[in-house]
Amino acid sequence: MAQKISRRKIANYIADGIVRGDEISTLLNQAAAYLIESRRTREADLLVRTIEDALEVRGTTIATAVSAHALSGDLKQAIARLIGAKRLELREVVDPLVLGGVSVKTPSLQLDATIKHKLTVLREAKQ
Amino acid sequence: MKDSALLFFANASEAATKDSDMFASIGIDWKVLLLNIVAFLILLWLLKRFVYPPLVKMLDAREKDIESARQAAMESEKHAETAKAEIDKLLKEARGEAADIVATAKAEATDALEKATEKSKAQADHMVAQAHDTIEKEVLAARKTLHNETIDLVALATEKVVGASLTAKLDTAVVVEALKEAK
Amino acid sequence: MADIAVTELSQGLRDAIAKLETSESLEKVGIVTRVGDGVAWVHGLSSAGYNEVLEIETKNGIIEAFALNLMEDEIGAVLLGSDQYVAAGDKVKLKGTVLTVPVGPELLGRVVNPLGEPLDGGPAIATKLYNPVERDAIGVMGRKSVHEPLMTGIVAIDAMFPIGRGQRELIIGDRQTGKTAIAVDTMINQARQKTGVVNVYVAIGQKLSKIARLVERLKQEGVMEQTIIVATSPSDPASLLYLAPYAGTAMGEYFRDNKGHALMIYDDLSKHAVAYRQMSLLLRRPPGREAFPGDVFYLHSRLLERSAKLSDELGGGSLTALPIVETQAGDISAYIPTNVISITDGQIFMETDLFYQGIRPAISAGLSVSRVGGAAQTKMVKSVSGHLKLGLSQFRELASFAQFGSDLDEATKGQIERGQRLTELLKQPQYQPMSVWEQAVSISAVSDGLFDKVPASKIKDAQAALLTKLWADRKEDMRTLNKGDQKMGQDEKVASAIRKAAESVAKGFEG
Repeated sequence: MAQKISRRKIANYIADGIVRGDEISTLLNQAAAYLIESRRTREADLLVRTIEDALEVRGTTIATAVSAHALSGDLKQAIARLIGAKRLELREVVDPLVLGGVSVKTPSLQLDATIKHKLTVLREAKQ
Repeated sequence: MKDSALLFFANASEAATKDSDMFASIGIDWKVLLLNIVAFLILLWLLKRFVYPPLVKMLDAREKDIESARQAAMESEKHAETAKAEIDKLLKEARGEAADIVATAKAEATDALEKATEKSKAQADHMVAQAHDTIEKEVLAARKTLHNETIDLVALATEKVVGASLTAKLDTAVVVEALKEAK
Repeated sequence: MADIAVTELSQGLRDAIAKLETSESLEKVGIVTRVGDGVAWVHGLSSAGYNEVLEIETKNGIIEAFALNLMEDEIGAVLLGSDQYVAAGDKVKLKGTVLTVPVGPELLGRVVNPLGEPLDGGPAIATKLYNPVERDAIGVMGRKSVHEPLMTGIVAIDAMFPIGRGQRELIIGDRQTGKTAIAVDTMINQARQKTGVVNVYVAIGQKLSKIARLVERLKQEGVMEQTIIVATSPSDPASLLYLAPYAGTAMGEYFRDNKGHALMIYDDLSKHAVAYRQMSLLLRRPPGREAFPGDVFYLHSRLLERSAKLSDELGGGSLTALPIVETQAGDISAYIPTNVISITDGQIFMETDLFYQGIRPAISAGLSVSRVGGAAQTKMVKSVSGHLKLGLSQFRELASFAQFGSDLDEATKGQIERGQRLTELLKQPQYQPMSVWEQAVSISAVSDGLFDKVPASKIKDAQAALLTKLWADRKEDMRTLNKGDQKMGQDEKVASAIRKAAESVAKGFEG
């Protein structure tokens, strides 16, 4: 039985492929096939995170921004500047429940400046 | 000597017959008298030789016994006196010790009483301190509850107000501010 | 009844609201992928360091863990609390520091857990200083050789296997042989003799009832004010049992580094090794001999190397260690016992046979040793202990002949009787440590032959009578002797007074 390939190695392989410009669907099929063959399908989510990590190292950052209202172009640029990514792929989510402000999540970093979070922090000040 | 004695008596008995008239008249027979005297002397001699010594010895022994018994009696009387003196001394000592023991016991009893009083005082103090502690703890708990409930109310109020009144423009301003300050 | 000041209340609320004005920042974040058996596996946080503290945000608040397995795909972090509330998917942040504990004199008299949280129901510990739990040991040049005695108050130890400040002396034996009793008597003696040595007692996986009884006893003897107790029970997570000795050592090091003297008692390291084994196996580290991980020697060596006597340039403080190891069936050649024996500067071996014969403390004079020896003994006790060791070793050789009482020559009989008397003398009840002068007088009375007419069974009574008499009649001289800097017999007057007292006491006990 071949030695178990770490998620990091698989992610590096796929990220390299994406950066080269290979077909993403081919790469993902290969990854899926390996996971099924080595019976590690439960690690699919973790693999996706690791791939995003690897892409970040290679300059492409995939970020998720959650806010109460839609973000304008200026705001998106401000976010890109904050994260300091060479290339930014932004996923936007509008969730009125955060009440206001924005939360930005990248594979390794997180900023939660929503009002909902501030209220959570306030509640944590309870003794 | 025996021979001469016997000869004498033999002659005497001869002479006796000559004088027999004189003594026969008063009823004394010289021969018999002499024989009796001789017999008496022999008896005396036998007594002196065989009877008197043991008798005297026995009497001496009895005298000695009596004497020693007397001595013993005197001695035991002396012992009894000494023993009595000892007993008196011991009694005196015991009395002294008994007095000591009583004094010590009294002192210890006072001590124990003092200690018991102190202990109960300490216990009372401890109970008072505990009561104070409990009151303080209750006050602290009440403060905490008030603090927490106020926070809950503030958060709830904020949610309601902000949720209703935050427009997109205001939100943009909030986001810009947040992004500026984030490092 | 104190009123609830509304202004105080509002101040607290204002502070909480003011915190909200501080802005959020971009933080490194990971996520818990699996959790169980006290270990959380975390994905992300690629910049986490070894032993760094992680904060896991659960529904019930923040639970801390420390990173022990830094692997390619994930981090194995051992939880410092119950894993009940940690769930897969919880966010994990870096705290930015390694594990620290509060240290300082505010800990004296308290019972705490290895994280510095109080267990005695008292107020929270507020110290000015927090020191890391894991620290490097002092280098060679920072040390001085051990030369000051640490008096345990136990005659057998102070006379034959003396312990010095800065030494590591192992107490090893089967269960229920009196190992903890020796450690407790040493602690009590520090208070009785007012040596100023701070005690730190680390209870690793000990029953809470036993710890409670110990605290009671220490309070009774007035020792608690100079003692810190770091307590973990068998129901605590293995991570706390693993950390307990290191946390305790960090607390002791505070006193060592500030020109003070501290005594560490680790009760016991066998349970510590077992807890570490549990953690390692759950972290999937490869098992070695007896299923212990490969670094179990390093586990104890780095702990015990921190006990040292500092040089004068660094303040001259010291940290003495009395680790306790439990053997099974007297086997001191098992894995953990041999490890710790090779690390420490000597051992005191407790034998079950001696214990049941009534010889308590049940110290085996043949197998025990102190590698520091005479350098750590007061002059007074040193001058009398030579005869003691000699008498006992001769007795041991002849012990088997003691059964043939009538067939031996006078000299042998004398040696056997002397040995029996010395053995009786070394018996000592618990919680009654003896001071320097008491030890010296007792040993010299027996080894100089002054008690030769006293039968062995009455030696303890004769000893008590002699000490009472000398303390009543010649208190000042005894106080001078207690300083320990004279040899026994140096002062002729005192020596003859002791001889006379011993002779008169011996007459009263002649058999």
